[in-house]
Amino acid sequence: MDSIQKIIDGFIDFEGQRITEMLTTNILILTGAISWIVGFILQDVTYTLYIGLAGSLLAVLAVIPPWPVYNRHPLRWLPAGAGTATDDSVEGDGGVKVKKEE
Amino acid sequence: MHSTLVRIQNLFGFFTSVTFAVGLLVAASSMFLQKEMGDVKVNVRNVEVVKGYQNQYYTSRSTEQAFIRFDLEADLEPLFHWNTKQIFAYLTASYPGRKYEFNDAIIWDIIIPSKEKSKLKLRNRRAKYIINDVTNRFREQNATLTFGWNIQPHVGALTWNEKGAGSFSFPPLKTKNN
Amino acid sequence: MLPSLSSCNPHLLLAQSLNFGLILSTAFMLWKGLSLVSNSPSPIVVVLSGSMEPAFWRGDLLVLWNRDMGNWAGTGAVVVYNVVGKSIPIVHRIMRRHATGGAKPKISLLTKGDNNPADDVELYANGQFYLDREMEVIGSVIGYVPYVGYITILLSEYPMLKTAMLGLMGLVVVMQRE
Repeated sequence: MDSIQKIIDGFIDFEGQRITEMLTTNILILTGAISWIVGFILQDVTYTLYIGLAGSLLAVLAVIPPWPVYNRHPLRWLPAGAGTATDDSVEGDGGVKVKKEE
Repeated sequence: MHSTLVRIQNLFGFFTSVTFAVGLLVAASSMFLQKEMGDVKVNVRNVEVVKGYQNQYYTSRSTEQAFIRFDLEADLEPLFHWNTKQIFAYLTASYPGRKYEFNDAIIWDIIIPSKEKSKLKLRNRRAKYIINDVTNRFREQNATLTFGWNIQPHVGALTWNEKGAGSFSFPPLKTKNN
Repeated sequence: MLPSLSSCNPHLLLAQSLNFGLILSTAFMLWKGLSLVSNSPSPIVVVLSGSMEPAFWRGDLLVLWNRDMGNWAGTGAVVVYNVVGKSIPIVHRIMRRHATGGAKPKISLLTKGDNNPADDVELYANGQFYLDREMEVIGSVIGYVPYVGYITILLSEYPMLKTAMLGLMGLVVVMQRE
């Protein structure tokens, strides 16, 4: 169940998110522009249709699956317990302390 | 963009927007690519009015029917561009009447699917539609012919235009005597 | 495994349903606004039959205008009409048009589908040979978008598809870790 959840989630790191966002926008805009221009120059709307579909498929393949290249910069969490506040000037409400079974 | 689902939603949403924009631009290009078509030449060869049965599926009343023969020459090639899907061309006969002041009836039409088939040249063609009047009588009126064309785009606005194409008169009813 | 169900924040739920309601009412306003401007009860229709091929195919979207201002009101124009007493709207072309004079003319139309060999008298009510423009026509076609209406045809003809889609959406909402 956990591996299925992982596949459905498809989480990627922040750097990957930035790249996919950029790719989505740029691939689709470029596809749209090229499909219109080629169709207009060749005066045939079937070019517009096929180039548009092909470009969109490219965008789907590039962005939807969580390719490993989008997980190159994983978040590095600090080890648990380390990094508790040593600076006494910070005032907080302390949070809710959960009693853990040892 | 952190999960597959969010990426799918994002991509699909933007895809819809881009498709809409491209469609709009294709439709808009029709405005700039629209050219005028050449002259239309129509010559009516013969008109006959006889008594017959038409559109009278449930009654036995007979009606006056008009049979028309004509020549037609028209070149619609300039009207074809990338956003032209087909052109529906038709000949309309317009005549006055007593019960209805304005009467229009299409006597012939054709679907032109591409630039290759857009040069029309008909000789002594029989009108595709045998017309009858709504009052069932033509009363020997004068009629004007109009050549009309409906440009159907791949996406966008449909346009209708027409040109005058001459005139004719409905002759008296043909009976056994004449 | 079903983390989203455990975070049932009533505040969030209310905000989400208000948002949803806002989207629905905006869509409704746009539809009714378009209806008003075009003077048609249904300004956007999906083509359901193949009787106007090759111009319109099943699943194409048509934009209607019900004010007789331009060239789309005479013979050769395409109208959508509802025969009094029958349920589905029909999209066909005007073959005959008879209009009385004066400020509020009575306009009678005879229609025919491009892909049909005969005119529409068989589709009209018993004893009716012409359509009334005022009473039965809901608009003239002025705009066209291919394919996009096909999903509505699929959803209405295959009710299993509707339940499958709702099921899939529900599953996706539940499996999300949000």
